[in-house]
Amino acid sequence: MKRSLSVSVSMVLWAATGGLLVGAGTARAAETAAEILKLTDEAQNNYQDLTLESTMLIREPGQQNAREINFVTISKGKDKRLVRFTGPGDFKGMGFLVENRDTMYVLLPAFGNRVRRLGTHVKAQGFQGSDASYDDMATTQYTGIYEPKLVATEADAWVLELTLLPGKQAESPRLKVWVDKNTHHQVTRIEYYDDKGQKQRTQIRTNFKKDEGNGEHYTPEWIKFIDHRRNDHTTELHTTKAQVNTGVADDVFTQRSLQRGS
Amino acid sequence: MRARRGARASARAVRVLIAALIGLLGLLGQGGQGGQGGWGGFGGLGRLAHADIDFKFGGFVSSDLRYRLAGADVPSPYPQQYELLRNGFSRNQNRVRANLSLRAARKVAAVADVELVYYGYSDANDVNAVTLRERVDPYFFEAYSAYVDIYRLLPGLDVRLGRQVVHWGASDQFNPTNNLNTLDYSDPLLFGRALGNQMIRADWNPKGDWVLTAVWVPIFRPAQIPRTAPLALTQIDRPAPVQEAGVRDTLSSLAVLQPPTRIDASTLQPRPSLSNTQVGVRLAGRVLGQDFSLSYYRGRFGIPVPAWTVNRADGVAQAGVVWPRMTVLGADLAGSIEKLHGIGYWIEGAVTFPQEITYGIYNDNPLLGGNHTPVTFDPQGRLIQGDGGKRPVVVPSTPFFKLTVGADYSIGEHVYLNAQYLHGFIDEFGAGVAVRLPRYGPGSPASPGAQPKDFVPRIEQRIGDYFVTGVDLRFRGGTVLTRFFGVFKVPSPNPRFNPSAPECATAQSDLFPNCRRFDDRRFTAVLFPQLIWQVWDSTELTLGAFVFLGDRSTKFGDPAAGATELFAKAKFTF
Repeated sequence: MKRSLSVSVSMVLWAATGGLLVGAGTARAAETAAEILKLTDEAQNNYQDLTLESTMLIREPGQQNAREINFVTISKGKDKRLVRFTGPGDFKGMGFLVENRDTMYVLLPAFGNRVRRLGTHVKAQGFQGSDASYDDMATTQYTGIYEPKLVATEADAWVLELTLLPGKQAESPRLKVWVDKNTHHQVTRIEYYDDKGQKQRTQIRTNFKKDEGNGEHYTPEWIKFIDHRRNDHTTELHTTKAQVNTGVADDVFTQRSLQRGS
Repeated sequence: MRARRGARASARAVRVLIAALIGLLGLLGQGGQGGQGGWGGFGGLGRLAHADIDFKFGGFVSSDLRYRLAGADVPSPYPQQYELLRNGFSRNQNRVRANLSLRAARKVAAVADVELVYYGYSDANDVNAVTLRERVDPYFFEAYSAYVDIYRLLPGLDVRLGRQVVHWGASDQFNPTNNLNTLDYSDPLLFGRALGNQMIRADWNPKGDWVLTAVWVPIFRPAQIPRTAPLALTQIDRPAPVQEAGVRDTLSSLAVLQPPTRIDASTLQPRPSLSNTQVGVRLAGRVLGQDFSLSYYRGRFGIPVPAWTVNRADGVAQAGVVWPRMTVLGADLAGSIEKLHGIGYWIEGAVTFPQEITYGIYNDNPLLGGNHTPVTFDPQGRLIQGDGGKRPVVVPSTPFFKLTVGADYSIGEHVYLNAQYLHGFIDEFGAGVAVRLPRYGPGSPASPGAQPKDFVPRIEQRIGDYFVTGVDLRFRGGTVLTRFFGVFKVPSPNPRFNPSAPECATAQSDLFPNCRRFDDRRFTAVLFPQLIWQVWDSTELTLGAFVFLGDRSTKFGDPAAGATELFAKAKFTF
């Protein structure tokens, strides 16, 4: 009856929260773990609005061919996101609106362009076969969620170990985060560990570029997700265009805007 | 004749579609001439031709083959390939759907969403027909959308003019407040897809999340009923659709004594007058983080109901149907409950105030009085030749209530659950009772345990109660989906329950509906299992079944509802 509402929702949700929220600000001297983490958080959210064009490539182990999904993400502030899918055909036309952490809508063209409210349970869904989780993408800052500890200083990066604070919820209780030392406080690598200390996944961010527009925000051209639990299954996210502070109007983030497609 | 008209209409639709596409492409071309380029526009195939023009094109190609099992033969006037056999192919369709959208400067948009469907069987009942391509390979067009949007015509005001679907309500698929578009019941797998109609819609956003919507529908479009629906009118042993039990008994007796040689059904469509236009108003917003709306609709119900019969002199019963007027007041609420792990929920209800429809009976048959004599009934249901009595009631003017309450939840990446309770199915209309076929009809052998009540029409509440449940299980990285979906009817409380009635103390009390606290329990359900395999990007193969369960006296076992089908589909989306 439905082209999988569940599939559609998980997919758009993934993109809606889709990361790419990983920019960085200018390099500043930082000595303590807390200061490093604070600067990293600031860099990730250093924009008024952000528009990204992206392609996700999901590749089964041992296969060269990848499943491609294309979408545009428009973000404003820390909460508001609007995503429109541009391909492939079975996703094209679908959209997703996040008004805040608890209020989400999906646009379903196959159902008369209906806009449907979603329960936040959909956050539990992963993206079709990909190795990215909702938490990866929803997390726009670590301060206040994780307790940082500087565990190593490499030539080009600080290595922080983040431990989930009591009472906070996140997919992984412990992270290892590499923060670029030289420029922009970029997070270049994240390792995810379970409560037994087993490494579950790795995320690698490369080729940071300054976004177009009037601002100091940097977006990685490539993000690679590796799921070690799935025989090192990989998903790559390729950002082809990033624009910052283009003056996106508030009324873009409304159900009407989602439905009308503008 | 009907097919020929359909073919001419289709040909007109083709011309209109082509003209529209040419016009839209022409507009695009003009836009491109002065364009400065730019990255805007999300279309895959149609990149920008102008900085301010966004062009999108998409659609799908699909094939749908179905085989019908153990259904009722649906009579046809002549041998034809699209007759429904007891066991046989019931659908062999190929569809091409195209959606074209042009948007200019965030100010206006034009959208066309059109589907071309090849039936996949011939309608060539004579040698001339075999020479006509549209009879040898019939097809039809359905335009779901063909409209122009004007955004911000006034501050906060958007207007949409043209053929469109306006969806109201928070529930999944079963929406008591969604009445502006009639539904397409011709494909049971879709559970009533909305049909496009010409409308004018205005949305005004005065503040925050609040939106006031007003819709005007000049011309009523009837619902598309399934190919098995005529059985509901033309089966000889089907009880008269009237509320008065005495009248039903009288009419049944007459039908036995003087059975019609044939039953024909004609329609009385609403005339294209101002008084027959439909209007709807809805106010939607958010209260305490939950989506909320109030709505009003004045128009007609999409499924026709019987309104008269003329017993003609030649023994033919000429039945007539009408589309009853109604006024609907609705409300819905939807949101997410964080204390229950973010479970999604929705509640949607509507009170309908229907037009009363009475059953006019006239006799042209000289054996029954002749001369177009009206037939009425006394309070005991006895027949009166002339206007001395009352007409029986098909749809009482009593308001009735429909409700949908549902929730959905995801468990990890692989499982999605959806459950709804319905008071009132999509095709149900009117207070009072539904009179169904007897469990055993003429020629159907009774089982050894048959009871007296199994040989008389079965009575249950017209607005029934149902549970609709579904579960999606996803495997292989989401590319394989198994879906189990079901609709289960449950007995409804009987408002006329009166255990102190004298007849309830007799051994035959089972025959009297007022002696039951709930409707007579008789299992009936629809099961809808599917296996959907996404073989590659945008390409789906589906195997499944649509299974009707229940005997002929039940909602889904009624031959007019349809029959079990096995299906195989392929779809490519672009």
